Amino acid sequence: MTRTGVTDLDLLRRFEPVIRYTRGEKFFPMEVDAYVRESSLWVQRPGEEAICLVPEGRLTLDKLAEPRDQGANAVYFLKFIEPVNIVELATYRLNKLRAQLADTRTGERFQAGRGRLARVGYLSRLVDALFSLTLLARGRISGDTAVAAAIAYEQMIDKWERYIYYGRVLCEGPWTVLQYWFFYPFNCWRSAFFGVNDHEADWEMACVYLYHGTDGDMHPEWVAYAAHDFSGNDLRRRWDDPNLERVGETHPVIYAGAGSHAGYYLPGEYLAEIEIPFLARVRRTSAQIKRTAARILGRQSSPDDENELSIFRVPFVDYARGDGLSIGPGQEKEWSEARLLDPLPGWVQHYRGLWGVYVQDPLAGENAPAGPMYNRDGSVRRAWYDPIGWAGLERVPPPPLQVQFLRARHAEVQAHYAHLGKQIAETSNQLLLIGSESEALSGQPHLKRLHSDVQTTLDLLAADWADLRAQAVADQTRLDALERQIARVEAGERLPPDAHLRHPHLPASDQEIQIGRLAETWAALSVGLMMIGFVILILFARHYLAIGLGTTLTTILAVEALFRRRLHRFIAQVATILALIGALIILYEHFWTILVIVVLLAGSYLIIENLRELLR
Amino acid sequence: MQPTQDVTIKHQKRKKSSACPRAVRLVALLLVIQAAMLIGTGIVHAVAVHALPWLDAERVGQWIATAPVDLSGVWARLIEIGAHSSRLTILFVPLGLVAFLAALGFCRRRLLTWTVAMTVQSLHLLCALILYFTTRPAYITLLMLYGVLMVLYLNYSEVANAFHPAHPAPKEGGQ
Repeated sequence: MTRTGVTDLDLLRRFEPVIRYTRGEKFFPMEVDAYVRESSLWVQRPGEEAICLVPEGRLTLDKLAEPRDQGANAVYFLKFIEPVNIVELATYRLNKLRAQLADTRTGERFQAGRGRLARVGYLSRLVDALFSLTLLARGRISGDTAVAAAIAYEQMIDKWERYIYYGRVLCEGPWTVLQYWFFYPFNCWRSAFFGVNDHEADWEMACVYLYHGTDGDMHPEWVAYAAHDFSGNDLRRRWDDPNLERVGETHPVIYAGAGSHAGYYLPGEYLAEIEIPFLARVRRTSAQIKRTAARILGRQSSPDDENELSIFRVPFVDYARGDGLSIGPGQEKEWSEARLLDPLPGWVQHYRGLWGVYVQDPLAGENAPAGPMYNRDGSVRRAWYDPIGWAGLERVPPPPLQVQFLRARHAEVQAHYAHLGKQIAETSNQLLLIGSESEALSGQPHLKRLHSDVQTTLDLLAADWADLRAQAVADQTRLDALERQIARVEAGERLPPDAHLRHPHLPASDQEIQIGRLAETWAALSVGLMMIGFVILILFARHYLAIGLGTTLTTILAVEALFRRRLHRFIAQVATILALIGALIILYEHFWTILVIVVLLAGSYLIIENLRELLR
Repeated sequence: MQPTQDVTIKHQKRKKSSACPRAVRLVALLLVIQAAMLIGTGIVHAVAVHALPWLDAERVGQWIATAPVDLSGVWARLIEIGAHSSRLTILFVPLGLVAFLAALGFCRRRLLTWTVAMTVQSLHLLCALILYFTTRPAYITLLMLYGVLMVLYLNYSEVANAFHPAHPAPKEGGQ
């Protein structure tokens, strides 16, 4: 397929991204053929042992695409890694330790930033600790799997070092979308970078959105990088955004999260959260209560409130420092090959299973992902079938078409306004006619019923007339706004590149990262101290358990708030909780008295207001 | 020159009064009342709980009988308060003093003053709750109600916004 004389592959290569990794990253984009060759295909039916369908060494991409029928509840998955034996594990760990010691001397080793733990609140850390403990109960990738994956990947790289991406080119309305897919054999975010999960196989994606310029060439306007399960406006950046780094003007730079491979625009350390499904409802209720309280007290929510991490989500840090290997045009390593997914290969279209081991994790974080086209449950990914809507671009026209769309909308509104004008004139005429009739019918007892009917018609018409007038005024306002916008666009004015962003993912500021050593120590100790304090109270002071627990928790939270410079908020929250308890007690003790006082006050207020009006 | 000076003085006065909104001055006044209430209650209870046991009841009785004013009612009330009071009420005295200091600093509109006032309310309510669940004195409802209303009023937008730096308006736009 060609567009303006350029092949899809040429287009993909022209705008192919540069990916910058964090020091310590072990896995890089590779071809799927080699991975599948090293894997076996399995099926897991509910309540049964997993069955191997195709053993390692016999699996090919064609075989993977073959239709299979093992029942509706069967989960197909690949298994890339067989656990290593103890000797291999020990040898690898020893070699790594040696390499790390050498790296530490040269400054090449990954180090979690100071204040990593202190960046999230105490309760969030408690939830995080509990979430980590659940790993013991739910399915997870074992530590030696990560080691085995690293060994297998190193062996593959030694044989054949190639960096490959897959691409598609789609024409979606006025946009041409370049979609870049990157396949990683392993996601070692938890085991290597203190993240949330590990899983075999990882598919990441980036999109470049182009439009046809008046010069006949294709021009980039937006880019969007996949980052965890995020979607919408905040994912994309405009090509002229100063926060979008480019190499050679046509290659956008992706800062990949260490181990997670999530895409970010700026280098840094990203503090984000994942939602635990069963706590989602609690979080929503809590947010609703907060909003209602703010509304009652007439307070606006502050940026602090909006950015505040929820205690009902697990906080994590994604390191996307960009200080490691860089792959792409003009970088340390160049892309070896771009593979076009057109025509769509069978392994993309027909294999709906997982690309790595299925550990039956109910929270899904440790299960491998499905292919580029599918979600884990076999449904088609939104980013695949709707890359425009996925990045919130479905309502954004490309720059050359902006005036055209504005004018078209202006014409629509203008036509509606003219139509309204006619309707208003007709209704007005009707109102005058029926109004006159109503006047003629009034005051005559034998025409009372007829007059009442006419009056009802008149009221309905009057309501219609008022509604039409309101619509006409709204149309006028719209037309004014559209005309102003047309003038602005024709003059070459544009909205700021970040105008569409509500909660963009930004790296933590230097101030946030440089939290003192004391705060870091406190963060590391506090959860454990709380648990030990609880045990001591139970063993030695059971009579004071409630008071002791309350005091310990309050003290710990107060120290925490002090470190996080949120002491005033903490005190306000404590006071509010105590006031709420106090109010409930008062209500319980003196319900009838309160009711009487409220009624008396309401009555007095009404009397005063009425008297004031009377005496005015 | 005189009229211009008058206008300048009036303008300065208006500016000065707008620097401390009415709601903030009202909170300061309420804090002063709270301080008086806490200190008064604290002193009475301190006397009833801590001083009465040290006095010789017989000698005090003789002194009351010869006193020009009838103090027997006050004496009986103090004994009753002492019997049903908690040692915790002694905390009301320092708490009242802090409330008074907060009231003095309120018109300077520092975040610290608001925080101190809120801390006073927290401790006030905490003491009230402990008293409710232990000795439950007669004035406990009034004490609790005052604390609740103060917390509400301190959180009221006009008061809270006077102490917190203004939040930037949310960004317009989006496509």
